[in-house]
Amino acid sequence: MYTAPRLREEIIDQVTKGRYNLIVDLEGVEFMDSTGLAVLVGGLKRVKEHEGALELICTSDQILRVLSLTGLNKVFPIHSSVDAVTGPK
Amino acid sequence: MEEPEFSLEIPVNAAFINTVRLFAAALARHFGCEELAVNDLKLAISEAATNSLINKMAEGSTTPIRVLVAAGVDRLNFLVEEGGAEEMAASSEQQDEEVSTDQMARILGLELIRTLFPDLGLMRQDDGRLDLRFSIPLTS
Repeated sequence: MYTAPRLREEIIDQVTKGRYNLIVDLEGVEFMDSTGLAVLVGGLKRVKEHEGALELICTSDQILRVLSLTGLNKVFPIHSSVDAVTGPK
Repeated sequence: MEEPEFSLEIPVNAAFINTVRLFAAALARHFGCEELAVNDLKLAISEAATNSLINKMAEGSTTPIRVLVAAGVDRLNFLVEEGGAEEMAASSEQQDEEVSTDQMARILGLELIRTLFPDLGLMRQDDGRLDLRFSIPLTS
């Protein structure tokens, strides 16, 4: 709950700037609970209103478990790295 | 719940929810809980403490968030004062209605705790607050 508002604001900012295909890099995120999940779901709703997409970078067992327990691993495309989404530079 | 031997009070401030996780995890490890159970505990206690925080902020209350822990014979019992949420007590029909992002978080949080700790219980106190309790098994 402490850092989720910043993520929400960042997603809103990106959508306001016309960026509707977002990648959220969760590497380095040590813990995520329902507050963070709700922000991601809210972000997904925002981009989908513009036919966009929101994908995740995540290899953390703890966060992958939370996504799995809530079924959100079936909602968000989840990748192991940015290159896996965008291709190697 | 047995008389709690351990308790933690934190201010009504989201910055201290991590302290609740650390406290709960430290106790669980002290009593020999498996690490997977400790990870699940951290998630559940975080959800409950966040509920307490949200409830107190909505009431304008400045009384601390309290987490009580009692070690049973084979289980470690946790109670979070005001850790419940009215959405938890709501019927499934009500939960089918369109929900806000905050309500979604509460409902997701409830489902997480229930999935991880099926003995989740909600206790309505005389003053109307909804306390939340659950327990984790102690490995022998």
